[in-house]
Amino acid sequence: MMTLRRYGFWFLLAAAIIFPFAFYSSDMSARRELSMVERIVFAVTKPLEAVFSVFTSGLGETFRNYVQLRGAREEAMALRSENAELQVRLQLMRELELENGRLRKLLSFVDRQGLKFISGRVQNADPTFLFQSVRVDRGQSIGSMPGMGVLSADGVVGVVMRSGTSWSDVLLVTDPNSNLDVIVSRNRRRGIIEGTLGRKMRFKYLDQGSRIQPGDEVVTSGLSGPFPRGITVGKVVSTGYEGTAQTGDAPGLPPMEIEPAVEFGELSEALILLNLNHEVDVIRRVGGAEWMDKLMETASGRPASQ
Amino acid sequence: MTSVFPPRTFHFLGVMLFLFALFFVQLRILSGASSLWAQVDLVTVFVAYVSIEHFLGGAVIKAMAAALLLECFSAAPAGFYVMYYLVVLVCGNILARRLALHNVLSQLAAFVAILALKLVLLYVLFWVQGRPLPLAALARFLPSLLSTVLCAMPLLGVFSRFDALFEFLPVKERRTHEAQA
Repeated sequence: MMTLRRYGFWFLLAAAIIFPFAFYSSDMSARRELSMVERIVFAVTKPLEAVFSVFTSGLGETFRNYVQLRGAREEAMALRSENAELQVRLQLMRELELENGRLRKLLSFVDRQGLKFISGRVQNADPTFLFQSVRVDRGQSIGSMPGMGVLSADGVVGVVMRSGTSWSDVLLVTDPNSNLDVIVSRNRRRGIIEGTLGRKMRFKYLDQGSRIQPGDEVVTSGLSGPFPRGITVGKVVSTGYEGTAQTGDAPGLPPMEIEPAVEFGELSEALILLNLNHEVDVIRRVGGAEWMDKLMETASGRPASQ
Repeated sequence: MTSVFPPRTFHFLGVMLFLFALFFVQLRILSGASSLWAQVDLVTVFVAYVSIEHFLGGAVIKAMAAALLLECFSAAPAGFYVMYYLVVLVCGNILARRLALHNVLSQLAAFVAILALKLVLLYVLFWVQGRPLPLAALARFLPSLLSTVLCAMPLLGVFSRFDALFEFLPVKERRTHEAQA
């Protein structure tokens, strides 16, 4: 005890010098799973969080249910959830119409009726104010897994980063660790966008010679990742200078900013896309549903999601 | 202030519960605020307070608990807040020994330095990953930093009042008592 008192500060100073070196030399990407210690902390705080949530949400619920019209709120929330699903299906149909209108010779047809959604409520945002994530109240009990896409009525929200039994942490598309394969609707130019520390995104990579202008809509490409083709991601709001930006001409071209279609500050409901990713769907069609389900069951150690 | 509860163990448990309450306020209420001025980093102010006023062992436990809580619920890379709060503990200890932190200006300067340190570590994080940030990107966090610094002054008073409920003496006063004894 005396040793700790006398030399405790120096141990702490040594830890504070050594730990940053270890941290910065490790893999610092956004984490997929909680570590054992973090799971213990989470389990310990779960009851406290539940008490706090009951207290704060109980007061709010009482006001909403009895002071305002009874029953109207539940009906409105159910309608909103249904509307969100329909809006997403409408966007998919709109993209199909555009494809047919351009008379593409090679159509890679995907059975869009096979897409499955589950809606969830957004519980809270990232408490650090630096990184960008939200927690949704749906988890592994309904089949949510890391890597699944998350949408809202307005467009792409992000990707499930990790999930527990009844919750899923979603890494927003505006987070710096987020990457998304997209195309520009107007000219079908493909690129990859990443989040920034602000509330916008920027092109990390873009096809050489692409001409981008403010107002161009950016949608998911469907070529990789968990999202099907045609889901709205955002709109180009800045090309760094007047007029059209063209890649490949000026090495020092300022990055093009994309404003997300989703207003994350007002996000209250999200749809988790239960189809894991496009590549898995292709394998499922080739190998057969039964073979795929057995493979997923073996790999994950639990029954495959429906 | 007359003590209400027995000391030490109950003080530790009480402080931990207080930390959880602060964290959940930050998680459920402040994180959802649309205005950047409402994003007050209560947990970091708490960690800075315990690093200055509490004994080292207890301060380390409380700071690490705060770091683990934040990392469980956020997209921060594993270890980022552990690293940050380790450095805050060291800086808080050094500041407590070297500066007269009862002066308002020195307290303000200390908190500005501690909160700016978070942005510095974030900048280094992206620089090491090969994605250096423009300094203008960090300017987005200035409203949050300023509002946290302004709220830190009254929060320190709240924290010390809370400690006084348990007859807790800050580390400096206890050392003075021991030296006199």
